[in-house]
Amino acid sequence: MATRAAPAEFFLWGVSHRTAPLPVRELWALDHGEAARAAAEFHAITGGQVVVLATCNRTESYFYCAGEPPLAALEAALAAIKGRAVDPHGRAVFHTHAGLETVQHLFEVAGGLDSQILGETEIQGQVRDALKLAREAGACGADMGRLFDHALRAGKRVRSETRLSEGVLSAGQAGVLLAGRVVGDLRRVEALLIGSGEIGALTARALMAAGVRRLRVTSRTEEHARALARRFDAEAIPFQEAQAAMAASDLVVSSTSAPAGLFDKASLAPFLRRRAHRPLVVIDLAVPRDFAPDTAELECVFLHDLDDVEALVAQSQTAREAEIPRARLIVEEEARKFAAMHAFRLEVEPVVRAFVEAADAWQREELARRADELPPEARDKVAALVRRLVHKVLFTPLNRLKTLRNRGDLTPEALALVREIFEIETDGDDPNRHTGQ
Amino acid sequence: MEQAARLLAGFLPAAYAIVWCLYAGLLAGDCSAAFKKTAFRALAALAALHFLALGCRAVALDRCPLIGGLELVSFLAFAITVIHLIVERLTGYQTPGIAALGLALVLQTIASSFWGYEHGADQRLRPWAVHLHAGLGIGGHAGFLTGATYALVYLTLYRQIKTRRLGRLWERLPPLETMQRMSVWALRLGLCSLTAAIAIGLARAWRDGLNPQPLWTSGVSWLLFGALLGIGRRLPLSGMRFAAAAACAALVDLVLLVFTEYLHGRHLGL
Repeated sequence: MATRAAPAEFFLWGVSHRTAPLPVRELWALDHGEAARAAAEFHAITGGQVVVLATCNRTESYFYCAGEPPLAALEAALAAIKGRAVDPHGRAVFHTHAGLETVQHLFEVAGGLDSQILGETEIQGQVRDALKLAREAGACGADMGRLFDHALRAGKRVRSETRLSEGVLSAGQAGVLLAGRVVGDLRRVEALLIGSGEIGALTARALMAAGVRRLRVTSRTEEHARALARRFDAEAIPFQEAQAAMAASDLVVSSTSAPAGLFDKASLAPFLRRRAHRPLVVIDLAVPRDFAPDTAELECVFLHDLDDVEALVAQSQTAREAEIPRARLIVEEEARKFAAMHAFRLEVEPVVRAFVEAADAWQREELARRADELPPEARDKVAALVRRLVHKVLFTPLNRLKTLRNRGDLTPEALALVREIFEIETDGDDPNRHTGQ
Repeated sequence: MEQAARLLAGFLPAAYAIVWCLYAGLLAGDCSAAFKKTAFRALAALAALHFLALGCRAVALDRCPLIGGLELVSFLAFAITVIHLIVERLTGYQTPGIAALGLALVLQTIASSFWGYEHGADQRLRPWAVHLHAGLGIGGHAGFLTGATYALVYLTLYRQIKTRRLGRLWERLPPLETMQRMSVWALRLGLCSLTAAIAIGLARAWRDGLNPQPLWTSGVSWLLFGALLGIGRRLPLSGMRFAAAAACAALVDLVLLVFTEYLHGRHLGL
């Protein structure tokens, strides 16, 4: 029997919005290149499998290695990547998990349960990217790959079986929702964005994601409008043409920082007459407001301001919070399922594999010994027959072994007995397998 | 057969109430796809059941079951249900069904509560052409009523959004433009149905040398809604004005329908 190495385990070490404020998170934020470098260096330090998940809310490293990873060395490596000195007092902001807790944490992250904006969906893509990056850096092995793949599946399940990601998550989405309640199909909608700041950019992203037919951007500073338009493949128009552009739009989202109102009923009425009574949804996100309240008196104008948008976001947040228990149940169930499958792979899979390999070796050996006694034309047939026979004989005990493990009835002693009886030797668990090391 | 007709007539209001409750459920809460499908299937089953009830009555009385106000009211409820079923299928939106089916429920409850079997067999009302003419005629008026009901829902929704009351109702009903499209679909179906009914009526009057006087009022309804749909298309009306006009036109149509029924009754000497 081979001597078995210390069992490998999943670990997590990182900083997130739950443990550190934004200024601290900013210190440890990693871009794609830095994350890949960190994964490679952590892999070299721990000798295990590593994935580094770096988003604006977190910089977390996931490890699969034998024994707890050396945190001081990891912190030193991370500080070197960021070009900073190690701060011994700053260690409190890092959180760690081990074993099933790590699995559960990752599944919660992938499901959007641990996001600052509850249920946001971008994290799913970020988890996928982190895995890809680690694979490219040669730091991710089969076990870590399976963990992240399962996390992505768990996240997908959370989103499809709960309403955690439904509703309005941002001002941009609120605009899309409000417009959708009037015009229905947003793919027919022409939108006009007035203002090119942060809110304008978020709104542009939400509008493009909703698939609006055409997006025009205008700003009091034409250059800013052009820059934003370039980012979202939109069309920039001069600010003086904003009113005329409104006549051709179905949705207007305004978020300028103008010190006073820009439009009112009297200034818009002549332009809107050209619309042939098509409804126009105006969402005024500016403070102070860009549209005077009397604009709403125009028959086909549906005016909403920041209060409406905030009410929608809050309403949606409450509904999403109510989904947390259901989402957690799914996460726990998936984490348990993963842990069981992982344990199964670790304990039983090597035994099964070795069993099948030994049986194949026996049959090959026997066939080789009797090969001369068989006519050449019958050899293939006999070989196939023997193979089928061996697999049939093995099927029931192997299946029973898997069933016992699934039921939790397979004790280590029983497994050791199986190894002993059939003289099966396995390689144990090598966290480096499939990483190319 | 008369027993079956009576039994079905007695059961119909309850069936309408059950389906209406399902549709109220759709409006009240976030429902699963299975629940939505169940509601739609229940509606289709209700339409089939009502058709069966009318069929039994037609066989029992050996005539078109459209004599007198109560038979007309029941047929109107049936036609509203069918029109909503078609519009729901075309647009994919179910929640406005609560208004259309609510109207049908009220109409059928009135019909089932009071109708009798005083008008017996009538040779003049046996031909299939009469069944078709009467059925399509009522179908036309039902289309107008359903379209007006959707228009009222549109007006409610318009007011909700305009006054920024973004509550539950606002969430569950279709978007404003879809609501208007549903109204237009129902009115178009009504217009097509009434056109066919008038054509059949004119053809029969011409062939049998009958007085086409009862068709005049239907003609006025036809012109009214034809003009509304034509104006709505050629000179774009705002959704709010179109909905208000459709609701007003439906009120006029109801009066014309009563008058048409009176003329038909006088024409047949009933």
